[in-house]
Amino acid sequence: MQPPKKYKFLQEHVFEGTWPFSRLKPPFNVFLLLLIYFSWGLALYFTYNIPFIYLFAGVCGAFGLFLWTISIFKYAKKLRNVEIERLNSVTKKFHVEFLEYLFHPSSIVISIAVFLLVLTYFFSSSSFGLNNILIYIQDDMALNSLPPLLIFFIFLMTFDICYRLGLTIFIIFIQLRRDFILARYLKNPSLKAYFSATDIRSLENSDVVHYLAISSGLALVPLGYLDRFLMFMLLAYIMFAFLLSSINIIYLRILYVRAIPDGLLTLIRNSNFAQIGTISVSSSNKIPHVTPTLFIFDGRDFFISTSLSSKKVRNLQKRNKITLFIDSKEKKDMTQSFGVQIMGRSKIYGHDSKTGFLFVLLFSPVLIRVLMLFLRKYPNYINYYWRFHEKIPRAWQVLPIVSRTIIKIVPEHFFYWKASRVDQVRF
Amino acid sequence: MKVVCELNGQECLLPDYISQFILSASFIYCATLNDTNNPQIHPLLFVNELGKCLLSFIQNINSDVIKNLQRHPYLALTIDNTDPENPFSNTGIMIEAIVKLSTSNQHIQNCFELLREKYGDNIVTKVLGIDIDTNYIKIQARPLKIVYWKGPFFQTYKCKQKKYT
Repeated sequence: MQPPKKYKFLQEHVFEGTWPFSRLKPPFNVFLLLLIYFSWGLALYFTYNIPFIYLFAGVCGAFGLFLWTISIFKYAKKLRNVEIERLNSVTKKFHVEFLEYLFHPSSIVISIAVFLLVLTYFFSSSSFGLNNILIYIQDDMALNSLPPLLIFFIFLMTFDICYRLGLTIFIIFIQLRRDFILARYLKNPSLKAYFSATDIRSLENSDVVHYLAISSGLALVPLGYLDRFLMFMLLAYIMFAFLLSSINIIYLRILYVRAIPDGLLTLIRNSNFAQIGTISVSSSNKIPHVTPTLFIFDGRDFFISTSLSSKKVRNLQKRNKITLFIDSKEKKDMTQSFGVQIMGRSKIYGHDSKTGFLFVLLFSPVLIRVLMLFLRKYPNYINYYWRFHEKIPRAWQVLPIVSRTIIKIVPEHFFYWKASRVDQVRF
Repeated sequence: MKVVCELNGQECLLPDYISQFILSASFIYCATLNDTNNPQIHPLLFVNELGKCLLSFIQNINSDVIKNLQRHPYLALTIDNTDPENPFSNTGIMIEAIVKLSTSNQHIQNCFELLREKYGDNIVTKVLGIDIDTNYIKIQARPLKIVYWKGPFFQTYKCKQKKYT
């Protein structure tokens, strides 16, 4: 079900209310904006015989705006896709409050402030002995004053850039504010139960889209090359945005782990084996397959190590759905047993020697970290496998790439299981 | 329990140590397919029906296991004896099976009695509840394939259909 209110950024409202943008859907309306900037810029270039370097800078500016807008629209769409009606009352209140703040029209205040600062710089820098881009164009075109159409074009593009710069910082501040509120909720045991780790991960995945949007600001750097001071300020601004956004993503990752109930997190960290379920699709019927396997949890994803010729690898190659089940196996009173079931999707880091080698080249930092975690958690196992290397069938020898592979499990749903309950409870 | 199987194309009986391993286990991990085609794992109490190569258990009619099996009558059952120190001591069995669901009160009651015999009143009542006559379904799992492992060594037995002795 869609959220009760369609949350949109100011620019989305402007596009929806302005012909011809209103006739097109994203990303085509953004593409139209890019086309308008291109054709207008080209017309000015040929009409006023502007030096080529300014045309190039303008193209970079328009392209940067295009990428930035597309990414921000994508971010907004991702947040709008959250099925708010599915959420429980506490999470719903939290999420709606976040959306209300994020899509509030007051976001333009920072943008206007940035625009005013740039205008101040344009009009007053010469009094401090600094030349700005307007003076450079004027000098290069050997004119006393710039044509009004060109000035309008420059100011419009400047405002568009400032709007995005302001919106980016506004979004990051709202994200950080949301994180602090979420941390407060998670500290309260009675409220923590309402928050799901996978929902927090979805928020993080959305924030990553915005994180990438900031990098489109780098396309504006050639524009600033014409004006060193502007370029320095722009780079400083982008670095600041990256820094804050990185803090936000790291903080969300910490909160993701905090959202897993303490007892279950301890169980996950202390258990040696997990039952791994996959689906066998070798026959005409789909038959489940389940075996106990060593695993590690890195605070975000689960990893298992298995033989390249194992049934799990064959199954996951065809269908990447996977389930882990970790339980306490209470021996004194089995009715006190409890556990956690994690459903997710898998990623195999090489399903044969050739692809394994490729994955090692591409993901060596990840794989080395996973290997270290396995060594730390199962030193005896690795030791046994090395000592009795020759007695083990080749398929199960600890030879990365040659006989073994790593499988990453990205959790999508967590379930709590208790022996004395009929069904598992999703959290 | 004598089960006729096929190991590497040769007809044989399921070795006693495997039958005993199955019979001595307490919880069994049962994997079914849910409505989104994800494997779903549940630990279950189970019994072996005397003289038959059938594993039986009962579940609430509203449970996920029943809903899944009504849609898709295949399951995988795993019993393991894991050693966190020595990988060569790990033993386990995975059984791929097809199921038959029964709503007959007599079947359910028989299975319930066998479960009480095996686990005792306290455990069965706590796990399954007391009101066993209504809302329960008996599940009979007929093995299609049994995989036994000890450390990194595996044996796969294909069960001969309808040849139970």
